[in-house]
Amino acid sequence: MEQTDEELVAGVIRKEEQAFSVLFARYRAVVSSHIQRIQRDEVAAEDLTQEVFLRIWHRSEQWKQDAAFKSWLLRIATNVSLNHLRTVKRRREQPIDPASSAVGDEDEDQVPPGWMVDANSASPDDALLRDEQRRQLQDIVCQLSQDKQEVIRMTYDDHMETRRVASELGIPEGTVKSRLHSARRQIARTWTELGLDWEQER
Amino acid sequence: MRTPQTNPWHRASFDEFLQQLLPQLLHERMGLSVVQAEYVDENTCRIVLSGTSAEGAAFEVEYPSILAPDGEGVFRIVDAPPPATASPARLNPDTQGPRIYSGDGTEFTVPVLADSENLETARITCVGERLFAYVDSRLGHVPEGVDLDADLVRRLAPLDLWVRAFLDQSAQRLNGINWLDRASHLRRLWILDREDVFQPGHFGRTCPFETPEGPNVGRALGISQGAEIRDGRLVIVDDGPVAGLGLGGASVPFLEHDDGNRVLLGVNMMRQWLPAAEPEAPLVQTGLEPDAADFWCGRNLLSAFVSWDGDAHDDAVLISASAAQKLACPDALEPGDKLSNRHGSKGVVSRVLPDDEMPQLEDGTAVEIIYSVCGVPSRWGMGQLREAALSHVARSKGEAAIVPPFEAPSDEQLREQLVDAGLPESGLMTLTHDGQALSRSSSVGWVYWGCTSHLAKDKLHATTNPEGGQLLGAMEVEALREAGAEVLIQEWTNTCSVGRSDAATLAGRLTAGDIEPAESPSPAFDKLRASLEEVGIQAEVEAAGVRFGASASGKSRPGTPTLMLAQTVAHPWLPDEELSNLRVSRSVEGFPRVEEANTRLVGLLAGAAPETLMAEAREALRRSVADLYNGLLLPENFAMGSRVMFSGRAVIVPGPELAADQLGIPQDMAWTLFGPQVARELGVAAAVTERTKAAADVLAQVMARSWVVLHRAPTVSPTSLIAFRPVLCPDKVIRLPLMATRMLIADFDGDQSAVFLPLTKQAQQEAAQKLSIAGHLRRDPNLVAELFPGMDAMFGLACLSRSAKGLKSITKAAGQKPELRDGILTQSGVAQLLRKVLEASGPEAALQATEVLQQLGFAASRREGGSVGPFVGITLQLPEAPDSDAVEQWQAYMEELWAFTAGYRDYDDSDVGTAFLVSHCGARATASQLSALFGPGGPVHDAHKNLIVVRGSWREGLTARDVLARVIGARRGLHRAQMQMLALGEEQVDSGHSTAFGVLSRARRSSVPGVVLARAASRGEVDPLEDDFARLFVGQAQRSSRR
Repeated sequence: MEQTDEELVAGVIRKEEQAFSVLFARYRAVVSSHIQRIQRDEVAAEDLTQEVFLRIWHRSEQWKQDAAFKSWLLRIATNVSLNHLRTVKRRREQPIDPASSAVGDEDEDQVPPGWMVDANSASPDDALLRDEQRRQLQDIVCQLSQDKQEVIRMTYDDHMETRRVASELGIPEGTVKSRLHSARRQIARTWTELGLDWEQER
Repeated sequence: MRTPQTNPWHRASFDEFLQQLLPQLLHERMGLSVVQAEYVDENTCRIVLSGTSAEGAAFEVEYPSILAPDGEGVFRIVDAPPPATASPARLNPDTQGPRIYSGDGTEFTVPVLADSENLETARITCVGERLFAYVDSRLGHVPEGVDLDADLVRRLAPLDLWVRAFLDQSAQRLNGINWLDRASHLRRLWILDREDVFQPGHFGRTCPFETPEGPNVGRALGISQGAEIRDGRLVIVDDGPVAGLGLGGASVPFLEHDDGNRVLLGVNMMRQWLPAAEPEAPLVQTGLEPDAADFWCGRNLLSAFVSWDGDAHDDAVLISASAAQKLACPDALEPGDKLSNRHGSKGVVSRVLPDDEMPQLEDGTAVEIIYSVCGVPSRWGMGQLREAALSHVARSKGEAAIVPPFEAPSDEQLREQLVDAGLPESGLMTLTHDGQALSRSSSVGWVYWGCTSHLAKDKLHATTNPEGGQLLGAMEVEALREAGAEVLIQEWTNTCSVGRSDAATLAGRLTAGDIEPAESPSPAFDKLRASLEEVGIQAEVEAAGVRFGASASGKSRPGTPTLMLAQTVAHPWLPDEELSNLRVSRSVEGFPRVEEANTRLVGLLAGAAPETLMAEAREALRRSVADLYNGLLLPENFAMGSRVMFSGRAVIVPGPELAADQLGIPQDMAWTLFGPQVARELGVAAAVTERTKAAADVLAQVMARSWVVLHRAPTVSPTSLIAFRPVLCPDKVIRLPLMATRMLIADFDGDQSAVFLPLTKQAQQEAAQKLSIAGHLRRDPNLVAELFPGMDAMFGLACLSRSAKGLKSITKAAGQKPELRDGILTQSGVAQLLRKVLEASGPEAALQATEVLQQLGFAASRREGGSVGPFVGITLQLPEAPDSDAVEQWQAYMEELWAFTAGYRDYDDSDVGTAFLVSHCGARATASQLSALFGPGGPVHDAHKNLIVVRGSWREGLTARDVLARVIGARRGLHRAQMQMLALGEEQVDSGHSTAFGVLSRARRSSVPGVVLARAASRGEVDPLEDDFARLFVGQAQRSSRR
C-alpha cells in the first residue's frame, strides 16, 4: 500500500529519513518545475528546490492539514522563489559581441583559396563531369608508385577497410594509413594542377 | 535605375511583437495589461503596463526606453562594445583601415532566419518573432494569489534589459563598406540547418549569385528583389528571371556570359569595394541598378586582356599611374591592393607603371590595366570581354549602354553595333608597346573595376615581440617534419615561441649577442606540466626521459589547499583514490562551480539535512570536480605549434625579376625583423629607429647573409614553407620569385603569406639546406616539374618554339634541345628539359635554367599580345550537335567536341589561335574548359534533377533557364572546395597520430589524456622520449646520446 502524504509527513516530523526520501522522490519534479515556471532559471531552480525540501525536513509540523500537502508545498516554493527574486540580483545574460558573430562576409582565412575554387568550378558540368574526372583520376593514380596504387585501389575501388588492406598485403595498419595519406595528398596536388596542364588528359 | 527596395519585414515583425504577441504573453503569464506601446522616436519605443495588487490597488510600470528597429530594420546601439579588432601590432598605426561608408559602429540588425532549407515551406522568423521567443523563454508564470507590485513586476519582467540582452546575443553589426554592402546585409536570410547548399525553392526567393564562398555557402543568402517576407513565409511576388536576382546580381551586365561562381565572386566583391575618391557610373550598365547617389564605387579602366609578362602572372594585374589615381580611395593604389570587376575577375596590383610605359591604342590612349589572357578561357569570363567591346560603342555615343540581365545583344547585334560605331567587327584592336605593334590583335576596352577593402597597407604586419607573432600550427610542424627540418621545429616551438617565460627579452638578448637554441622543456610541455601540477602530478625532464611522479592526492604540490572539500570525492582519473581537498589555483576554469557545490554541501551538513539531499549534493560536487580536472587537460594540450616571434606577414605579389633564392620583403618588415641585429653591429639602437644611412648599410649586410622562411597557407606539403634570401622591396608587399609560385600554390588574388626569421645559426643553416627551393629539390627531385611557372611564360615559349629561330634561343637558354609535341613546346616538355638539367648538373643549374627560360618566355609573351576576343570561336566549324536531348548522344557529342578542340592546330588564326595555343601548350585551360567557350555546355541537371541540355556556349550567352541550371553545379563546386579545405587540415592532423607507445604519445591519442597521465604518475612511469612526437613536444632537439 502506498503511504499517504499525511503518513509521510508524520514520519518526517519524527525525523525518519525513509519517509523524507519518499516525499522527496514524489514531489521533487513538481517543485522544481513550479519554481522554473516562475523563475525560468534551471540552475537557480535546483538550488531553490533543495531549499524548499530542507524547510520541509525542519518545519513540516507547520503544515496545518487544512489544505492538501501539495498546495502547501507549492506555496512554500512560490515564497522561496519570490524571496529569491526580490533579494538576489538576476543572473546576468551572457552577452556576445555581435561583431564576432558571422555576418555573411567571411574571414579571408575561412574562404578556400582561389585555386581550390577554380579547380571545383570551371569544369564540365554534372553528368559529363564524372566521366572526365574519372578518366583523369585513373591517369593520376597510374602515376603513383606501385605500393601506393595498391592501397588506393583496394581502399577505393574495392571498398576495403584499412584493417583488411593491411592483412591482405601483410603490412601494419599504420603503414596502410601513411601510404593512403601520402597518396591522397599526391593526388590532390596533381588534381589541382590539372587545370594548368591539359596534356595529362590526352 | 530602380528605386531601392525597402525591407518592411523587420519593422512589421517588431510591431507585431509590440502590439500583439507581448501584450498577450504578459496577460497570460502575469495578468497584466499593456496600456501603452508606442514609438518615442525612430529607434526607441515605450511600454506602460498596468496591474492590480491583491488588495485591489491598481499600479503601473513604465519602460520609457526600449530599443526598436527603424523602417529599414536598423537598431542604433550607442553604447555597444567596440568592434573586435583582433589585428596584431601594426607597422603603420597611422593607417585607419578601410574607409567605412556608414559605420559609426552603432548600427545593428537582427538576421532573418529560415527554419529549413526548403524555402517554399520554411518558416521565416524576423526580429519580432525571435524577440518573442526570447521573452517567452524567460518570463515566468505568476501563480494565483501572489501579491504583485510594480517592483516585483520589474524583477519578473525586465523588458528593457531583455531586449538589450537579446540584441547583444543576436544582433549583427551592420556592414557598411559601401551602399550595397549595407543594403544587402539588411536583405540577408540565414538557413540555420543546411545540409544541401542548394534547393529548388531558392530560385525566385533568393539571388542565385548571392552567398558567401566560405563556410556559409548556401547558408547566408540574399533575398531576391521579387520576393518578400509575409506572414512568416518568403513569398515570390514577381517570378520573372530578373526579379529573381538580388541587388548585386541585378547590377552585372552580360551575366549570362559568365560562369555562375564568377558572378557570385563578382557580386561578393562589389560589396567590398571602397568608394573611389571620384567614382563614376559604368559605361555598360544593366539599367536595374539601385537609384542611390552613392551606389557606384569604381571607375571604367581601359583594360587589356592580353598575354603579358610576370607582372600579370596568374591573377596579378599591372596598372597605370592614372588608374592608381583614378581608383584612389582616398590614397592612390599601390602594389598589393586588390581589384575586382563585376564578372568576378580579381587580382592584386603587382606594379604601378607610368602611363607611357603601358601599351597603347592606335590613338595613343594608354591602357590602364592588364589582366592576363590566361585567366579568361579557363574561367569562362566572357562577360568582361563583351563589356570591353560594348564600352567603345558607349563612348562613341557619349552615353552608357544598357544591357539588362538575360537580354544581352547576340553575336550579330553586338557586331553590328561595333561596325556602326566604326570599330572592327572582331572587337579586337592593335596595341602598341615601346613603339612596336604587338603581334596579335587584342581584346581591349573600358571595363568597370573597383578597389576592394583589402589594402596592402592594412595587411602588413611584423614583430619581434610576443604580441602579434605569426602562428605556426600543427600542420606546419608536420610539414617541417616531413622536410626533415627539426631544428626549425625546435626554434619555433621553443626558442622563439611566444609561450616562453623569457619571450619578452628575446629581442633584447639578440641585440646583445647570439641566440642559442633553448633547452627543453618547450613552452607547450611546460604548460602541460603546470596543468598536471595543479592536480598533483609531477612530470620532470630527466636524463632518461620524462618521469611522471605520483602523489595523486595532491600532497606534492607545495602550499596550502585552495579548497577543503566538505566530504571526500572519488578521484576523477584514479579509481582507487579519493580527494579531500583541491590545490588548484582559484583561477582554474570550473573552480567557481566546485566552490558553489561545496558550499551547498557544507550548508546541508551544518543544517543536519537528510541523507537524500546530501547524496544529491555530494554527487553534484563530484561532477564539478571531475569537470574541473578534465577541463585542465584537453587533447589540444598536445598540439604541436606556436605563435612565433620575429615574424610578419603581407600580401604577396609576383617578383619576376627575382632569382629563385630571393624574396622581396617590405622595408618596414625588414627594419623590424633585422633591427636587433643591426643595432648590435652598430652599437647604437637609435640608428635603427632613425634608419640612418649607416644603419641601412648594415641592414643590407645582415640581410645578405640571412635566410627567411615564407609560409603560405593552407599547408598541403613541405613546399608550403620555403626559405629565401631577403632583399628589400620598396612597396608594402612580399615579392615572390615565380619559380616558387606553383610549389606554394600562389595565385596572387590577394593571398598573404607569413615570413619567419630563424635566429640561431643552426636554424639559419637548416633553412638554407632543407627549405630553400634547391633544398626541396634535393629532397624530392620530382618537384622539378613544379619549377616553371607556366601561364604567360609558357605561352611565350610555345610561341617561340614555332619558329626555328625561337627554338634555337630556347635550346641555348636551357643547354638542351627541347622535345616538341605536335610542333610546340609544352609545359611537360619544359619540365622534361629541366629534369635533364637537374640530373646532369644539380639543383642550382636547374634553377638557373628556369630563370632564363622564364625571362625568354615572358619577353615573347609580351611581344605577342595574344588575346581571346569577345566573339571567340565564331569562325569555327564545330561538329554538328545532336537534335535530340538524349544523354548518350550528348556524351558522345561532347567527346567529339573535346577531341576537335584537342586536335585543332591553326595557332595563327586571328579568331581562336591564341586560345588554342594557351590551352595546348599547357599554359592554362583544359580542352573541355576551352570548348565550352564556343561550344554547347551539354547536359546538366536542373533544380528538379531533370536532365536538360545547355545548347548555348559562354560566347553566345546562356538562356535564363540554363544560367540557373548551371548555378546549381557551380554552388556545389564551391561547397566541395570548402569541404576539401577542411579535409586538408583534418587529414594532416590525423596522420600525425603515431602508434608510438610512450606515455605522452598515448595521452595524445586518448580522449581523456588525464587518465593516462595520472596512471603513469601513480606507477612512476618514465617516457623515454623515443618517438618523434614526444621528443619534439618536450623540446629535445637531437636524438639523445643514450641511444
